[in-house]
Amino acid sequence: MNTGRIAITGMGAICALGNDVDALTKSLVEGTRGIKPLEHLDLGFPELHFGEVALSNAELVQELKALLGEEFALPLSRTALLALFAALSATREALDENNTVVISASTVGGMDLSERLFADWKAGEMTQARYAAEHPVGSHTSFVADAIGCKAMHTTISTACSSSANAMILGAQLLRTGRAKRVLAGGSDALCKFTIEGFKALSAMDTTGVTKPFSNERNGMNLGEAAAYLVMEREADALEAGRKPLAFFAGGANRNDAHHQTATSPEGNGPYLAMRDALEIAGLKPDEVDHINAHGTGTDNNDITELAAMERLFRKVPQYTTTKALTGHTLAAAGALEAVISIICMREGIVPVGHATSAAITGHTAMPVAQTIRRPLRNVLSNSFGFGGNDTAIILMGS
Amino acid sequence: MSTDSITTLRQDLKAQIISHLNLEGRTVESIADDMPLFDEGLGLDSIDVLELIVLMDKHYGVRIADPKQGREVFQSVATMADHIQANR
Amino acid sequence: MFIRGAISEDAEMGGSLALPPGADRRMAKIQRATCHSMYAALNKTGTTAIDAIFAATALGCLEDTERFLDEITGPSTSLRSPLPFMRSTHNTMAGQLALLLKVHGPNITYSQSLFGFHAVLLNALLHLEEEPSHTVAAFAADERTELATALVQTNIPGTVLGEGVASFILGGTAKTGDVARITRLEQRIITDVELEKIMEEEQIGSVFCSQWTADAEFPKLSSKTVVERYDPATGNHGAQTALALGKVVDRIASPSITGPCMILDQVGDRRGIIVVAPC
Repeated sequence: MNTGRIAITGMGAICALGNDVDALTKSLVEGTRGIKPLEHLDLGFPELHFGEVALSNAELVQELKALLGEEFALPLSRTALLALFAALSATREALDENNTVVISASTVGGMDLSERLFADWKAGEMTQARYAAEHPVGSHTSFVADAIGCKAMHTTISTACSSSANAMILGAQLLRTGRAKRVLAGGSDALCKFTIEGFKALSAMDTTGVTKPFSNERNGMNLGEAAAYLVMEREADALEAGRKPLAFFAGGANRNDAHHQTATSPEGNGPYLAMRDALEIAGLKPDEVDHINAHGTGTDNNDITELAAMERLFRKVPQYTTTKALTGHTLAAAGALEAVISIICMREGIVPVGHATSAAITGHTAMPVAQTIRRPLRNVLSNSFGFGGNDTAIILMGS
Repeated sequence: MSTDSITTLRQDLKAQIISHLNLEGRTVESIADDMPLFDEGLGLDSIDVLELIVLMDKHYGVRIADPKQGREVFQSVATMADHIQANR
Repeated sequence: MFIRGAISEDAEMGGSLALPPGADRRMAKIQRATCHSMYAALNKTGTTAIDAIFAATALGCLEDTERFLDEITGPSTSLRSPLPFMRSTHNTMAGQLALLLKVHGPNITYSQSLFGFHAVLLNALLHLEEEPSHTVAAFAADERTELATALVQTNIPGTVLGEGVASFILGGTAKTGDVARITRLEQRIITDVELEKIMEEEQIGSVFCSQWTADAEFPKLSSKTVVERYDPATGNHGAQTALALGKVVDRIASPSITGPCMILDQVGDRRGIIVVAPC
């Protein structure tokens, strides 16, 4: 099969910065922050701030029914509702039902419903058994594939916070080898009590308001929720169909730190290998990277090891930002969401600000950008690292 | 607290750590009071710190709010016992 | 793609490769079972180095998911151990193996009801096409709990939830000792007519199907192919296809099987196909 370039010809996202790509673009250009106390979800945690999507489940259902023009069976997890919302927006202009492979990603799946089912079961009742069908992390993918009528393969990747970046890598491999004609790749994760309590137990949550990634004063992350999907196809196919590429997927690599279940090695081996090999696959030299959308969760361990890896690879660390300080950490959706954000940044010619800091991490000098920079961007590298030492870097190239 | 009771507390703590962290093959006798809990000592890590914080809270009623403070408390069984004694 | 060896029975630790002391102190039951199974596959094939790991699990570490759900539906003031949360993450098993075997290469976990393992084989194939000299570890694992068993019985009457682990060592080029090879993978909506065509093309001698739901229909196959249900031997659970592949591999050289075999899974109108041939 001819290798050719992999074009991105459609994208959709819903997150705390907006319900679609236009709203997300406006927020990024204006430097809006989406992190605040919960308004739409009744989960508790008044002391914490989140990147919450500004639609309740009932509102999402209404919107989706209007978009689809038909009813669908409920209950659905919030993960599935967000997923379909973003997928419909991504495929508006470039859907081929027969040949589109759907590769999604999630870590929580239908945990929002499982929490309710479990509480009932604990109280001796089994009235919510049908919620169990939503529990598997792959359920939302089947729902999306069926709703948009895809007849080709669909699958779900669950590698924690690198999941949807890995979905894009698989998509590119299927396209390059001719096994897919078109791919819808991305991920979805809704906020739920399970993940909030989980990261609280790991002592990874920022308790001061907004996360401060790559600052010496950082003390944890804000969780967020999102769904984001990208339509990927071979450049030749896109041009033949008259679709103008929004950007190109130049390459990506998934590598493993093989150091610890949750912590990254001090020298950032996994992140280093992922970035280095992604560049090699893309055929780029380190100094050709214009901007890095860092993983940058704002936890003590991530930021120092990610920076160490960047300093190992780049003679001069490129301008970098963590948009998780704007959207919250959207877990399995983060890789795809940050790919969409990177493409918006290339299109608008901006490097956005995540958290501006003057306190460099002890022993390091490179700091994230402190104010929005207007400049043309050609190659953007985006990092997504997860539990289990799962480290992924992808490279997006302007069209 | 008397010397006797601090000795008892330390012994109890060692047994709790072995059971809570599932340190198979370890015995109370093989853990010295001042043995480092991390790295070359008992070989514990950042997740174990979180587990020890839960242990301190649930078993001894002593709460450590900041895991960074935990690093100082969790130097050895002796420092843990001192912290429990001072805060219980 | 060549199967160097497969383990589809419960494995006890043994052989030259063993878990380092203390390595399993934080492992959940399913993690330990996965490690034992993969180490058995490594020992069986004399494999010492792995380049990539691909895994499938439909429900992940259910015991810990329920343990953490139990914690968070309890009193809100108590501090919680992060272990059940960490272990509930689906890639905890593949991550553990990377850690133990020092595998810095790709490490992907799939979750798609019965089709997770189909994606595992596809990703292994993609990897081995790019790097034919590499060795890949592939596995599927799922466990049951009391609650999950009750839920399956309520939602799909007549179905008993099972559990299991199966591990495979895969290579891109033929090697002495290989036990079978995979010649075709499909996972999509496949009509009966298309299915017939694939069977003809691949000259399928035996088809191994499951009947995940008690009321699901077998595909109506008009050819003279031998059709056998595999699930009485594997149980019904997310890892059943991997166990079926292990059992087919064990039998493929025996006279009871003629020609290439097809493992066929079905969920609604979607089908997954694995074609296995002797070496």
